[in-house]
Amino acid sequence: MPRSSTSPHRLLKDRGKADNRTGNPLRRRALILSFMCAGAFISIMTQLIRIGAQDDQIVQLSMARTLGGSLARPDIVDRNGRLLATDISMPSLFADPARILDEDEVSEKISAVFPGLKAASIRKKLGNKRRRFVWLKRGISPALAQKVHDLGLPGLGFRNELRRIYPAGQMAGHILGFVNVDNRGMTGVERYIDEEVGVALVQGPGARDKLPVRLTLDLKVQYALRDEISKGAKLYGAKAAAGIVLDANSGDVLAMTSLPDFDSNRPSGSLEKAHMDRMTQGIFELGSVFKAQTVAMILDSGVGDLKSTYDARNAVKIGVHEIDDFHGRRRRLTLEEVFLYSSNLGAAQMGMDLGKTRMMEYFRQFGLMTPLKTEIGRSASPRLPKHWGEAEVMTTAFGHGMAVTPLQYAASSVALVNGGFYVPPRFVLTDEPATAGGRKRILKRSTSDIIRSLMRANVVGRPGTGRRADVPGYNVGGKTGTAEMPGRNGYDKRRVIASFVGAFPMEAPRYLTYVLLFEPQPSDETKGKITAGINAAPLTARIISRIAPLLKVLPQS
Amino acid sequence: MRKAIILILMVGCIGAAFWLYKLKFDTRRVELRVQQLDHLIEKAENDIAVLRAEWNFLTRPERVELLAKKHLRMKPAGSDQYRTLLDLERAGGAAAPAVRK
Repeated sequence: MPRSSTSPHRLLKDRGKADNRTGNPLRRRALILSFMCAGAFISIMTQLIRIGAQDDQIVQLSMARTLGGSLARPDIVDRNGRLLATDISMPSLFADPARILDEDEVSEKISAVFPGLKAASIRKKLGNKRRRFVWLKRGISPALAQKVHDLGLPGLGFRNELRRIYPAGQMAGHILGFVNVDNRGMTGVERYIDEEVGVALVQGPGARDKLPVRLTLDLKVQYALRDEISKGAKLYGAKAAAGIVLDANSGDVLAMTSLPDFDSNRPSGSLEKAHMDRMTQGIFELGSVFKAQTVAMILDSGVGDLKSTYDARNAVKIGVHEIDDFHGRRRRLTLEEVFLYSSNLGAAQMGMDLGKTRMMEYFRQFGLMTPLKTEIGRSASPRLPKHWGEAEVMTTAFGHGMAVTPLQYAASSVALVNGGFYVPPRFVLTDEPATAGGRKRILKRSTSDIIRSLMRANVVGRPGTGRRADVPGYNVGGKTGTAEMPGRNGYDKRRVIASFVGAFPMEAPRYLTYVLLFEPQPSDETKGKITAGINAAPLTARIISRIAPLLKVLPQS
Repeated sequence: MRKAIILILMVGCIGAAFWLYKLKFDTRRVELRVQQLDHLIEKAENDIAVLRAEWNFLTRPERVELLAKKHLRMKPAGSDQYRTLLDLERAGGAAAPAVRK
């Protein structure tokens, strides 16, 4: 320290000067230093007060964070933008077994909050001390989460996860499908979203910016159809019932239902056989409704025309099968009469006239030979005759010996009324024009014209079987079918599928309906009958009178 | 003179330190604010989703039908209740009241 040696001298010298002017320099420095210290402390104090006085909102909100790893799914809306499915962030309860002090206490208290959760199963989960993370309950309401929080148990925590919610509930369970506990689509449109549209892992905001998936479904029409089908099933004592409304030109499925169905919010019942989607997963011998296709094939191939006649005098026996008419006329019938009386004998002869090769080719064109693939998944495979012999050709001509899904049948019927175009049914609305994908001409326009007039004649008056399907103003046309179900000892007369395929307005059909009642029972309402003309036909009338105004179809006066 | 410079530098140094500290603190506050806003956005988005689901749940056709039956004295529209403008024209100007049977 070189300065220290000179300091006494300098100090004395400085003191002399300083004393003359501002006083003792040591005191002055001490003063400056203390001022600086005071200043520093004051600034620290003010800062502390400022921070203390501020209402800080940073501490809360930690519970509102969404867990990274949640799957964000696009919303599903109907064709008018009504919400059918959406994601909602909900707390999920987890535990860290290593930090749990008293397993018995925790499991007792938690099971008291969630009645569905058994104390024993919680104890088992918490018993494994080597694990640091186990889910206890996923997707719980904020109120219940608060209750668990208030228990104040250590080792428990919440993470927010996205959960799928279906506001329309049970309305379209079979079409929407459902997701698993990780928000992955398992069936229906939800599965289609996983496979085709894509789901994304999320963290933070902005995950909801995805465009919704727009269905062809119209929620109002869907509700009307489901409501009427449900009432109809009750009224006619049917074990199950199903129905569909198709746009006859675009193939858009506006409504489709199969009862009993399930709620996408609670999909646990969906795997039971009774809850199966009969429209796409059940295959049935649909019976006389097939005659519309048979007559169309006859006309289109030129094998017969309106003047052709068919022998319906006597029952025909082929091998073990015996073919007869329900209401035998016992005379030769014209093509029109075969359609209107729904003559099995006539149709069987048409099948023979047509021959196996042509018949199979038309069935292929109608899309009845292969499983139908739509956005809600692959439909059940049709059951075709193993060997197309004479008997098979005759029976398939009136809808027996060949089982297809009702959706498949409805899709094939669209071609009968829309001028001859096969249009694959679709459930998801896309930007591309409806006429683009897969629409192809399979019948001549003239064939479709004749079928339309036959279907209208079948409803408009005697001797038509579909008279009860008429709705004033909407010019409904259609074909009935009462198919006996195969039982243990051949076909069972008392167990039938009564169905009605209809379209309106018949001069230029815009919509096609297909309604099925499984095993309807005779009642006073039906005068003891179980045929389609007395149950499925009036049910169709009620459906059409309800949905036509919704679909903006103006009645004709 | 040298002392003055030292003093100025010292004050400047301390001032800079304070300023830096303040800046750091402000940055942290802004960062936290951003995080907070992110959470609020997420919460708001979630609230909107909940409300939208709620609204669609409450306006489901099933419930609206029940409410309409209970509170409105109206029947479903029948096919005979529709008229086009052409009908009005055909019937002449006085047709308007006749339309409502």
